[in-house]
Amino acid sequence: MTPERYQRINALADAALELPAEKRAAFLDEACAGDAELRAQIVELLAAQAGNDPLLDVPLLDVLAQDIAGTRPADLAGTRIHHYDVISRLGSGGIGEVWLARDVHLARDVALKLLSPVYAADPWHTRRFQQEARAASTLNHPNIVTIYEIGSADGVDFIAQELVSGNTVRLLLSGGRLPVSMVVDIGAQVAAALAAAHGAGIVHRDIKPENVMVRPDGLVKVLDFGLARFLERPSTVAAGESKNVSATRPGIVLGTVKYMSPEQARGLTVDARSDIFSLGVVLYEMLAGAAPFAGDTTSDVLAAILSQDAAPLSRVLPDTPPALEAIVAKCLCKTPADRYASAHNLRLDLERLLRRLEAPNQRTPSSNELLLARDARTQRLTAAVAPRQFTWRGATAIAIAVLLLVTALMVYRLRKPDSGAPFANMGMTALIIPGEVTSGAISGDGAWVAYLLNEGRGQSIWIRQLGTSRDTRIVDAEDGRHSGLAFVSGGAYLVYRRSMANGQFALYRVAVTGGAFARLKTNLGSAVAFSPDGARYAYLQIDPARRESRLMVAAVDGSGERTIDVRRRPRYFSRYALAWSPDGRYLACMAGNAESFTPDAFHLTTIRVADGQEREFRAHSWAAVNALAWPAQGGRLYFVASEGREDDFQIWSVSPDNGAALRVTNDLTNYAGLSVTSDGRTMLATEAVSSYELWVAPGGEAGRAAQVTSGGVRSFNGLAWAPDGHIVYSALAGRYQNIWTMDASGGDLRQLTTGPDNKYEVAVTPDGRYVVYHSHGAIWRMDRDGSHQQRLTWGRDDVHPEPSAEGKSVYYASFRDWAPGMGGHPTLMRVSIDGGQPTVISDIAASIPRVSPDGRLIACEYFPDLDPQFSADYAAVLNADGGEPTRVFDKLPSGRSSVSWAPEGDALEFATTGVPGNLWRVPLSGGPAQPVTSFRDNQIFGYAWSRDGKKLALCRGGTTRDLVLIHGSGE
Amino acid sequence: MVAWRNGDEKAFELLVPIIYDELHRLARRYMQRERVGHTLQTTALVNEAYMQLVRQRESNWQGRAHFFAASAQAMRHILVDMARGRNRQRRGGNVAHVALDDAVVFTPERASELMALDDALTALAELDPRKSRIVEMRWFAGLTIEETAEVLNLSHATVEREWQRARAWLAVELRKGAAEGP
Repeated sequence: MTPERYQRINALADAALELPAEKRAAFLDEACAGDAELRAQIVELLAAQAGNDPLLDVPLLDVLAQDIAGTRPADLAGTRIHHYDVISRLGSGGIGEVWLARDVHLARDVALKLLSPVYAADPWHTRRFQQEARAASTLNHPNIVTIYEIGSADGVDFIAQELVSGNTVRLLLSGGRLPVSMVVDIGAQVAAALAAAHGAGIVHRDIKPENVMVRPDGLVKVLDFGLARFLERPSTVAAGESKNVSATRPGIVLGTVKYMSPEQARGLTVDARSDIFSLGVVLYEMLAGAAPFAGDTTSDVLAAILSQDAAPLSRVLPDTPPALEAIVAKCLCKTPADRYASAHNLRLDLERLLRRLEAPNQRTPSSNELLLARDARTQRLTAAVAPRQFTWRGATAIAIAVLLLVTALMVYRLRKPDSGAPFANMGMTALIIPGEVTSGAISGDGAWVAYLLNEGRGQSIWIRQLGTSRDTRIVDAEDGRHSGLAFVSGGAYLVYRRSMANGQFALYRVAVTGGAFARLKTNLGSAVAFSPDGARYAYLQIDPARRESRLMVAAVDGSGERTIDVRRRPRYFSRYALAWSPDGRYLACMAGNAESFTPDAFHLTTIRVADGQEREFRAHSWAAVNALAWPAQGGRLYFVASEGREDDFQIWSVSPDNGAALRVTNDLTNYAGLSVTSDGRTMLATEAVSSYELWVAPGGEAGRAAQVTSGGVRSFNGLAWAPDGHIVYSALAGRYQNIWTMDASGGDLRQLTTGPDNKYEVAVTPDGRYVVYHSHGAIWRMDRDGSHQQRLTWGRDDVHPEPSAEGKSVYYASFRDWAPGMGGHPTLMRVSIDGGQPTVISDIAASIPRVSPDGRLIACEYFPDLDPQFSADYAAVLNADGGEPTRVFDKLPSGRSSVSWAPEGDALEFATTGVPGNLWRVPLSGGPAQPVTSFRDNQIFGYAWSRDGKKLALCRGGTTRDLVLIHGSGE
Repeated sequence: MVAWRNGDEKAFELLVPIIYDELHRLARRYMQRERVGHTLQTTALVNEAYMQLVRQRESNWQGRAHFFAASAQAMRHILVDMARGRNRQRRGGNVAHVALDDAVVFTPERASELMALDDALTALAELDPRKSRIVEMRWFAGLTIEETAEVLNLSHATVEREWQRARAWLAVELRKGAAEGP
């Protein structure tokens, strides 16, 4: 700063002070016209002066003397405070010194925290200290330091608390960044502590490395719950707000801004999600070795917190597992609603990741893994999925015990008085179902849960009275896929759909007592909604040829069938989201209006049953929906939908009055099959978690397959070999699907692309020059190193790119003819690798083109009845120049992946999609399919042979499903 | 800065043991949980050094005002050096150029705070030497407004006004600097 500038600031500040306070702003506006910085400097200076900043209030020698008094162990050692013998000084915290002391009554050592004399002189502080400590003392959790006693003796206020031996994370960080698994472990334990505290209505407010201790045995203890409020830290950038802060500790107070959430930095009310943000900062710092939001000044740090995104972890630390990067990114969202809704969900994601990091193939869960329902699931997920041979009775007994424990641990509430939305504060309980559950439903009174169970020979239906874990099978295992389970007629009946051989469904009803079994309808192509009295049901009747979707209502006996509403392309209804209003007068559906697929394809629409009058709510729209429920009370509808990414199905609610939408869940799992109790306060959903790992199997031999990632692939979508022997694949990086590369042993892992565009389905040109992929409904190419991204097609929905053998063009499938809810047939296309006008190569309805090794043939999925939604799915081979199929494979098993070429080019290959997933080959010359691999566990989500045919890269893993009960808080 | 390294070295020599004793006297009182408040006798402390100087008749000082100003500056340097020494020791250095009993403990936070303030004060001195001087007298030497006014031959009101502005200025500067963290 120049002396002139300094003098100008001072002179103007003096002049402003001469004026009455209300005239200063106008004065400064004029005096600093055109120099906003000057004005800001003066305002800041005046604020500091008016705020009576306590800086320098106490002469330095006095400050130092107090420090010496606090750091000299001899003086309290040997004294007794209340019934504690003081032994030695442990350190100093934000509010005073901490001493090692011995409780003479209980003969145990404690940490005795003494309120600093700086605060003790002030009765307000003394009272506040006691209040906050008392609230925190009600917390009882292994990851929270236990408070034994709060008291006052001889004029000294103290807290006696659990003595923790170990190091703070701050100290651990002084040696540099921490190992990934350690970070995840610490993070999960801190999240557990936060979940418990939030459940008791206590927000920590000051999560930072100094407040997290790690014991030598690895147990993490979080310190100083609730005490942050006591310190009344400055809450905004504005100067002069550091009242009640010790004059002598500006550094300490200001040092914590790095961990503030944006809402804290703005001085707004904070809730549990603020702690989640702070924990995200700590996680980031532990991984990267430096905090994500930095700056030269406090203002810069705060500005970064408010407006800048942290540098991607994978850039700072390339080995960061993408799952962990996604978790941290979710914690660090600027808007609280975008973060984890609860510390509990964060904890589950971290624990899940931890198990994958530590024991990718471990079979036996450790004892504390049994504490959580999802542990059972995740263990299932990572362990070999062997045929289940449990004894039902034994498993049920364990389940009851675990359920009780889980319920005790997991049911919690979050108080957040400023929000009136249902489920704004919620708790989740995972139901322990012994076996492989696929979906469930809760009865209107919340007393019963019905669920579908996979049992080797088919699916069975079970019912459980909640709180008892007494499970009764009411429908024996039958083949076919079951779905749409729901209680109807006030809980007297269950209805469900079962897939038919033609891809359509049959609708069944059965009494919850197990009798009165009836098939209500066949050849059903949509979800079904029952009227509140259970006498009628609504469904969609789709006519693909006419591109028409009819909303129908019929009585349960099939009589009185009539059309309520019809939509013709480009208008459509979702086939998966239909609900009947509690008063019986309306149907609700997710519907839209678009020529082809868009990410805002669906919005809520209600239709009056009497006359079919539609009302559309366009305030918010979604890319895909998969359930809709309209409970009797609460005045909202609930549904499961994705805003864009294919695997981000979260629970939402929407008001039928104004269409205002709210997120209910926001985590890294996927939800489906939602049902809600009549009071609108409890819902049951299926939560699906998929794990993906990349494997490389020399010669395709399962026995030699090596897992090359470890917790490393999130949301896998497509892999390919590059000629240089590297694997290129699409997976989540942060919040978006991006393209990665690694060598065949998992080394040299690099993220090739960044940015908020999801990039799917990678393939590499044979010359290794380009990677092609699809993004935003178009085909793109980029250089092998991720540079020079170039859009090749401009269609509405172009997917499944496949480079030609000579690398000069790209085959793909265009879904321009296809609309959500309505369908339409996909077409095979080709475009030059440099872009330009694409050409249709065949008029047949086909998708997923795969070029033979010699480049002369194309294998594809072939839909003889035009629409993939309704047609049988054959494989076909045609000439690479197009035309009609030369071979059609109509005897391939169901439950297979799309076809590809065997390396020799003499057979088609596909993977079975069940568990275990294996590769099969069907010779072009004819004959039955033969197994190629012999894996005994896990699903296969993708595979590719290296160009020389010697190595098989696979993405394997599992999807596990759990039923979760979600409890909204009382309002 | 230069001054006390040359002729004013005497002040340094005299002050170090006095500061040391005073610190420990104060600390003892804190430890005995007395409410010390603003009873610090810094004036007496500096007076004591002055009396010694006068008694030794070795002074080329131009009277009490100069001495107080020099003493305040010396105290600042002594204390800041102690803080920096402490900081160097933490980094594994072996610097003991300040011959003080290491029982005078700067906590790491205090050391960095003091260094930050010293830097800010040095910067302020270049723009506004008088304010810097006032801060030295008030905070490092512990003089009252009246005493400072007397030593600097200024009005009470001027010292008061400049002191408030200097504090505000430093508070703003420190807040900018604190974001870097300790």
